[in-house]
Amino acid sequence: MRVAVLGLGNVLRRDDGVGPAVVARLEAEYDVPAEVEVVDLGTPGLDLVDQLVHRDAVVFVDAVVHAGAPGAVRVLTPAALRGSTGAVPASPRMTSHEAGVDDALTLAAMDGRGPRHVRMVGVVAEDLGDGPGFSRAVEAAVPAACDAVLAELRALGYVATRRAVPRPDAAWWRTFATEVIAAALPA
Amino acid sequence: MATRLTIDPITRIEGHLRIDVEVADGKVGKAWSSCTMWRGIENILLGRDPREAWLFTQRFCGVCTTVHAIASVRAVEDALKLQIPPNAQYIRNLILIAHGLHDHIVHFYHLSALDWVDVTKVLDADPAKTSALAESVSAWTGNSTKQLAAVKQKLAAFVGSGQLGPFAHGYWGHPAMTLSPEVNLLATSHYFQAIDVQRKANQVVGMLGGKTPHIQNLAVGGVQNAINLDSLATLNMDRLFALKVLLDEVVPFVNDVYFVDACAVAAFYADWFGIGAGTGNYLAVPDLPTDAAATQFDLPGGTILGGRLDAVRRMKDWKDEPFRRSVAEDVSHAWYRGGKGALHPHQGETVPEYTDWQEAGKYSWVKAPRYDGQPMEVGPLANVLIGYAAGDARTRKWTDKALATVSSLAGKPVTVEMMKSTMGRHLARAIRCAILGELALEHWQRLADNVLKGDTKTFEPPVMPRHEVQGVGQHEAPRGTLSHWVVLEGGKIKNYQAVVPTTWNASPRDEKGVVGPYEAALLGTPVADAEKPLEVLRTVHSFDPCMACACHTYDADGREVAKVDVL
Repeated sequence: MRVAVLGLGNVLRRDDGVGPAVVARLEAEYDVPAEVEVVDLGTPGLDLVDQLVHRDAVVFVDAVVHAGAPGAVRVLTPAALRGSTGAVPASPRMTSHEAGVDDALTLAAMDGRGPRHVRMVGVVAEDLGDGPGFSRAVEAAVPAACDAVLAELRALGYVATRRAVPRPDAAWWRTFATEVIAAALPA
Repeated sequence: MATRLTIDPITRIEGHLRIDVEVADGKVGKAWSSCTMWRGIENILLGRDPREAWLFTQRFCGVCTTVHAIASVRAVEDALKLQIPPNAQYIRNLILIAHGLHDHIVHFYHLSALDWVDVTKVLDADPAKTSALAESVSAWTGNSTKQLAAVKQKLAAFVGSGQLGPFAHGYWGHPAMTLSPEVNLLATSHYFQAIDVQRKANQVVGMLGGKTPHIQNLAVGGVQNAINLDSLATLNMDRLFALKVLLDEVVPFVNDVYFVDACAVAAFYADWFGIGAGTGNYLAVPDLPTDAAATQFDLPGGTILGGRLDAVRRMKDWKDEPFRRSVAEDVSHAWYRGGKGALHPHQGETVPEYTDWQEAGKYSWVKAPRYDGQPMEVGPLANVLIGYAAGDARTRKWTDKALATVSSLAGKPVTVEMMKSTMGRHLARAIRCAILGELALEHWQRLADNVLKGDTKTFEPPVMPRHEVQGVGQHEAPRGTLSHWVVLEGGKIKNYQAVVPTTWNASPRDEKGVVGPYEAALLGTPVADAEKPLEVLRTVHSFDPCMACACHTYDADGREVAKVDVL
């Protein structure tokens, strides 16, 4: 699809997983217009290029290292992302991925393609330790980050509607399925 | 006088790697390979359901997510002695092959070509001369004067805009960059074409895997792809042919562009067949099983010790007892609690104990895996040497073709023995990619034939025992031997250890002070300009480092790329 919301981040590195978590919440609680694809890309590295070349507009959601208190939601433009990743020395606005958004956008542009409209909904991270789950500030910021994504989609002319009955939570990494394990064992 | 060089981080790899070398008389005399962040991912799996471990393990990394998913389901299936249906085997194989094609193309063009190709010299190239040169060595139709002139123009526009993107950090104008402007233009043109082609390979992974990165179609016991030739919503002949159309576009690029370019770069930089030898010990596990019971494999496995190709030991299958017994990880020089000697992965521990970077003590987050006490190099070079030494017909065919092409272009003989080198690793990767291209079409045919026979089964349900069981999942990934070691009890994960390719290659010293493969390969590498240690990068990049799963990485602020201390 020509328009996409792309959640980035490692769900096993605490706050870095906020991108996929925002995507999971959007998928569960909203119906988005059919022209808009909402995808958890996890940690795509340079595979991100493949997700950009056929798009007109992209809204990224990711944890960022940025001025501001943990949990603050920032909407960044491509200019603010420029040189943010893969660059050495890195800029202070570096996202928490190595082969980065900026590299992917540049490669897509070199290929003569890629989205004309790009926004990054960034959530300022606090805890980037091991394991699933967020710091309190980032957990509390998930609804605001969702709202920021929805506002960006509205600005593009796509209005999502809130579902009366949410779908099941798609964030598998949050569950610890003790009952499921027990059910699989022989009696 | 010796010069101490610290390169931190090594760029154009995934994750963070620090290399320290001591240069005396223009050559590396000592080397230390250090991974600068720790990996605790395995600890997250303890107590979880082994049937979902693959969902977690593929989040180890963003580049080779697929390989960790596959190794994980194979480990659990091995522990449960569970045989998967033939369709599941072929679908997994196709995913692995397509991922490998994608990964090797990306490594050559996007991660390592810039060590050899100077893009700034492209602006001096004559597109017509470049096209004539290309036409003389390759059947590829994408080398016309007009196409090459367009690439030159595009690059000039990017340079003019000051936005160099991924080209911003090359050692441009370095005296060790010796290709003509025309060869630089040709390689740069293929750099752009490769962006498009690698995507097609990745589409195969996505179509079978549901999405990529992070495929969704696996299950302990097989795959979740439904097959029904009468349904539009499942894997059917229409879908199968869509996969074939993609593979039919990728394979000619591998044969007529990547393979040819790798041979040309190898010939123009033939000196690098004499640099970067490494440990001389090689390890590969068999992969791409051709039957459900995994008794026959298309990619051979085995070991070579001390560089003795004549004494290769072949591993017939994944039941190979010496492999299961001989792998152990030593933490004498790694930031983990030790004291128990080298531990077999089933008894492995991952308890952090950070000191500081200590030359004679602990200096890396990567453990030191050893095979029967020996450091082993893994990766395409190990694949090719083992396959060649064991007489594998496919490996012989492509290796002989590559060596003949390189020898003819270089005007001097280049032999299989000379492949134990920095350039040999690049050439071996291209050889392996050509082999994978051939196997892509063969395994597609296997899947199509089996489906047309009326077999639609893709899953065998697992049964979890209450008692303790152990297993190992083996996969010959693009970067080399990957093994996931699992202990299950009461339907839960009791221990999980991943011994990944870059852990083998980036290994620090062990208890006896024996260096790892990167460290060994760097010894004797020439360094013309300590401020711009391009040669060190060439040797390290030849291994295709991917630190993200070798240890986990996060770092916020920029650091010095190269720090030089005169001792």
